Amino acid sequence: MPEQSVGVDIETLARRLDEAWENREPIAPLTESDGLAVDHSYAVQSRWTEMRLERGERIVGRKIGLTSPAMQEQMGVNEPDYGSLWASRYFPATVGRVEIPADVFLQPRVEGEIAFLIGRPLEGTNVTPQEVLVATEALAVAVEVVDSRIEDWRIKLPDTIADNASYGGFTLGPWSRALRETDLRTLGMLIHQNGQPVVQAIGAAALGSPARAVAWLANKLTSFGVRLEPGDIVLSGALGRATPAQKGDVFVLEAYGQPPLTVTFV
Amino acid sequence: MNISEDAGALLERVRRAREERRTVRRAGAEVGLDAAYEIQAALGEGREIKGYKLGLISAAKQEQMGIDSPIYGRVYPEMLLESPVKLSGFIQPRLEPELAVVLGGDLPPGAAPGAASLAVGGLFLAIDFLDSIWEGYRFSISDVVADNTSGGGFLLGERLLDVPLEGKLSLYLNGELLTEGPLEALGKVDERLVWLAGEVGGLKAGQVVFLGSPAAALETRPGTLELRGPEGSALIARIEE
Amino acid sequence: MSETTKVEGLARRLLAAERARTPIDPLTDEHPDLTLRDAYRIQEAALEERGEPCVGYKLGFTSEAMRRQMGIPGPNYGRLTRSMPVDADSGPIPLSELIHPRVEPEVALLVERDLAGPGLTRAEIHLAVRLAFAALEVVDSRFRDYRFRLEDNTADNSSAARLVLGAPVDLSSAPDLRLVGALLWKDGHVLDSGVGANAMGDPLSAVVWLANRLGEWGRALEEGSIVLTGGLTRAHPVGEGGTFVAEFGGLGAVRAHFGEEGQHAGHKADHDGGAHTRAERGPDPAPLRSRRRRAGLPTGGDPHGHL
Repeated sequence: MPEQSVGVDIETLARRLDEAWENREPIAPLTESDGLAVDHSYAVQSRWTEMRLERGERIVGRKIGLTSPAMQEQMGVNEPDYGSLWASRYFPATVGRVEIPADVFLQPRVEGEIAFLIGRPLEGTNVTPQEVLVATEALAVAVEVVDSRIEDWRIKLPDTIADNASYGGFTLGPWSRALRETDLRTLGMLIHQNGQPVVQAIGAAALGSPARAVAWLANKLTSFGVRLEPGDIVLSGALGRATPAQKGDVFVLEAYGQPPLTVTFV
Repeated sequence: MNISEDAGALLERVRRAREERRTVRRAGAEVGLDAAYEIQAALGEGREIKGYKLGLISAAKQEQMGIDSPIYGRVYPEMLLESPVKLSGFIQPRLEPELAVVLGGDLPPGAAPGAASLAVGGLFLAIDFLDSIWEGYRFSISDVVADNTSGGGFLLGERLLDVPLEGKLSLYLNGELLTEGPLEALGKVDERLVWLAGEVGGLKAGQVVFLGSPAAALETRPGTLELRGPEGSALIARIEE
Repeated sequence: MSETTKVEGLARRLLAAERARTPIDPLTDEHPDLTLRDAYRIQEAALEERGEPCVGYKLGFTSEAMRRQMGIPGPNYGRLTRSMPVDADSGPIPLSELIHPRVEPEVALLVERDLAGPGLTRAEIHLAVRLAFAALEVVDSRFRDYRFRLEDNTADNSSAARLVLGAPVDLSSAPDLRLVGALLWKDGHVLDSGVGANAMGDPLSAVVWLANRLGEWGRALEEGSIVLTGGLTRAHPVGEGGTFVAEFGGLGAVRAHFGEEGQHAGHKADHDGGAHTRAERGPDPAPLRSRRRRAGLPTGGDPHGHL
């Protein structure tokens, strides 16, 4: 993987990702086709997001990716990455149930996460997990659908960063104040797919604790001149593995002290 | 800063001992508390203040030292530690079990106790790794304040605890109880914050205030550190050479 | 050689291995036809020989992953005796008393009324169980290198050796035990993690299984029994010693510290050990203590006669 991109056209790559998203046709890894390196990958992500914002998309928050040691090892990195949550792919749940159309994705996978609703601005270079919790208005369990515009998920770090951290869409359980005072590290989470257990995980799987992952994000965003704002939603990273999903699948996510969240792919 | 010759000498002494990580014996004239806080501030000039630590919170200790309020030190970003904590980074480390407040809102000087309660974002378990340049922790009140109130480093728990809290803090090393003390000994959180905000010209949202220890400070050695607090909370860390 | 002689002989062999802290080869090497029924008889014979009152049960192989890893077809149980509970605050667990201990975090439950199976449902168990505890189980197989079949492990009392209980937590204030996360530390490093569901899908289901299993043999799960419901992570070797801490969502933390001989002994063989301490911390100590006293081996008859 090259350290620096040579002659990468940010505009072209952003457009290619956007077309793949719109047409649901995967493309070759940008690292292979264009020699994209980490140095320009966030620029591609930003440009792609701008293109979508110009067409009426809204950013409702951020997602953190690569929070597990296994994923970081696979990518050869020692820190997570992040992307934007686009409102067009937020699927609101009603009384713990939501239907998500399977055909808007290319190759969707399901992850269970903890979502933070930011209550006060968070910025700085030394933001701590404790500051994150204190600045958090409420938390919720979340199902994130990750998806890749890169064929067969053959991603390297610059590919997934440019591809909006492999964002697909998300849904949330009810916002809970009580979760702020729950030890998120020892919060257990189970996911069943069509009645079979597929994930048994605890909060510590996301970078040691979900609040730690959000602190990483606040510090990282500050280095890009962006801050977490009140009302932002942050998906703090997968607890356990990502499970491939297809039309007809029913996923039930359960977490400590929270009502179940049922996601049906239709 | 316009300080006396004695204060200037103390400032240099503290600065050099901290840089060289060595102990010194106290010497010279008393500079007084105000000058000591000016020295503390001068030594941290230009650095981000992540918060403050309180010291000498018990009335008995205050009387012994001839003061009628706690003292405070500044907490800089690099003082917030992660496990494992290496003792080699300290001059003469000692441990105290503590609670820390992280502020959810700004608290201007002169605010009412009610405003302070509202500004409390949450409480967390904490372990204070004290450090001092003063050999054997033998110091006068201005010595210790000039030396940033024995500020060394801190570990913070990750579980947000809400007030009111009852119970005690118990600190274990390698399964053995090192020290413990009741939470009542920490005093009223809102009053502490009001006092501190008055002293330092206001506190900001996100800052952390270490409330002081309900138990005596103890020397330590490498091993597994375990702080147990209210509501089944725990903070676990490793200490290395 | 009669069946009884064989059972007693194998029971004595296991006890001798424990006392000498010298592991032996699996019994099934020599007796490949050993049945599970034989195995429980050996377990029972060894317990009688040991002569200590029982304070509860421990379940083994309650996780699918663990069974697959060890090639074990189903769960089993062992008995907890009075010398096994350790008070976390009374010094290290001496390594010299153990062979090759391993540690696993578990949810422990206190059974507050007799449960007579078979056919008991989860709802009935729920009514009989009010208090849960964060627990660390110390297993110590009497077999070399932990090489055994289900029958060997059952005869060996499911590797039971020591346990440490945290403070009691009323289940009405603790949520669904399936969703309790456990974080296991050794010497200040995170070693492993798991969730309550790893114990047979639910620690309460583990008690259902136990009560019904005992019921099939005409026995009750006695009031006052502590049940260790099965490891939430795999078992981790203690090695040269050290400090294990397990943190549980909603159940608090529990510690087991291992040290060398000469340090203050961790377990107290001359009284109720950890269970005593637990009862003293409990919200309702006196009734707990009396219940526990009544918990013991059932009297009369072959408990496995219906096998």
